[in-house]
Amino acid sequence: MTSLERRYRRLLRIYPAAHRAAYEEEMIGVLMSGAAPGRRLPGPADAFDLVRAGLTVRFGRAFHTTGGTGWRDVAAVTGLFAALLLAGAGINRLITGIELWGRGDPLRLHGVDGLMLLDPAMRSVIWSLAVAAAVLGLRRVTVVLALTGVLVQAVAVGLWSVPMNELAMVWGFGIAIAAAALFAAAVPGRWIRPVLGGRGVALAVAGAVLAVATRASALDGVWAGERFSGRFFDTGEFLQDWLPTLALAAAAWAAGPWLRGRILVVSAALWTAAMVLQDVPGLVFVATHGDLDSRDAVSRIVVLLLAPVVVLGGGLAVLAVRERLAGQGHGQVKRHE
Amino acid sequence: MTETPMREPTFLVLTALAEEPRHGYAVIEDVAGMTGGRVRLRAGTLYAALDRLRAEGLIEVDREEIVQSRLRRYYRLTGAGEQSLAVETARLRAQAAIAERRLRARHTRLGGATA
Repeated sequence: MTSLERRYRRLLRIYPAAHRAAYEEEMIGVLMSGAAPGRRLPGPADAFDLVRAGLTVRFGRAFHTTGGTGWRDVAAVTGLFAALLLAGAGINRLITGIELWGRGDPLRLHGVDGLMLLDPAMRSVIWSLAVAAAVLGLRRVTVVLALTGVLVQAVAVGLWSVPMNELAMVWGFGIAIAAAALFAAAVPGRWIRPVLGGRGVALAVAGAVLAVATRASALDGVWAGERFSGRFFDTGEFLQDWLPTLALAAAAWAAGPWLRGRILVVSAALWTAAMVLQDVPGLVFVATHGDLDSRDAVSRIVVLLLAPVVVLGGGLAVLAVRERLAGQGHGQVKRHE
Repeated sequence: MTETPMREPTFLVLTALAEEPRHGYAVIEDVAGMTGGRVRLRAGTLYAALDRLRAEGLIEVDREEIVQSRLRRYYRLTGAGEQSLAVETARLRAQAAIAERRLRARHTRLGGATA
């Protein structure tokens, strides 16, 4: 090893260990290739550049890891998935409402006929617009629409909790806050299309369209009546629930190896939170009405509320181990001259 | 709102890799060549860009070689990288067209005088 190489290696110590493991040998190769023959000291410009870049890697990159990727990218994609979930839930409920209305149910709420349709109609519109804005790359518009969606979800909670005396809509409010926060966090980053690519965005849109199309067949009896005897879609559980989910998973897969793991973890935590927040209000209702021992109820509620945290923490731990192992793998220099 | 404009080193690295997979030093040489020597990337800047582009999925490792006991890792553009470069190229072209149009109009307005 020459004195120049030794000095370059000493300068490279300014980088974090994981970065050195991944790139040190390669960088030494580049630095030595660019050095004039007989040179013994690093050039001042090279030395300054290494110190600056090393400090930036060490202290200035809160959203990147050596082998990993930006959390803002993950926030953009999971924000889209959360908005799709909320749009799907709104459209699903709207379709059910229209179906019931078609059968003669007045859908009366607070003494007003048809008022029950107002909440799902508002949710369908606002979250569909948020999804469209997100896919079109209108970042600030998406954030504004998501924040409006939070207000709409809050109205939905109030609308249903007063007559029904329960908080069944709390899950939507919680996921709406998460969606708005994710979109806001993603604004300075790359956004959805560069992260997922055209194919990934197409898959995500296909998932959403599939979800609506398979559910919309329930309207056959309302709109089409006797005119259409055959059904284009089978509204079985697979088509209705799993195919759209698979399409979204395929969209996440298109984001590349480092992103997809993080998208999976954050989406799984979001999905678990949505499930938990659907169950907790019911459990609280049952407990407060004396049908369940209060200590038992509290312990169940605590376990449920911890579930998303466990999913997120466990997933992140697995990813951290995977990235550390991959970083070590990148650092291995193949000695096969 | 449009995507955040790419920084010049990022654009140049992606442009270098658009032609063929290249290792670090070849990227430096190619960037220097295509900019007429105006931009000569330093190792710290280059690897900061390469690490970020890898993390963002815009480039990936093509292959590794050992040449004279030194590791050479070749990088290639991914589909997402190609798309990002195309978007940035279109943005730059549009801006250049506006600048060109305004300069031409200014030239005409000033009766052919450029200063």
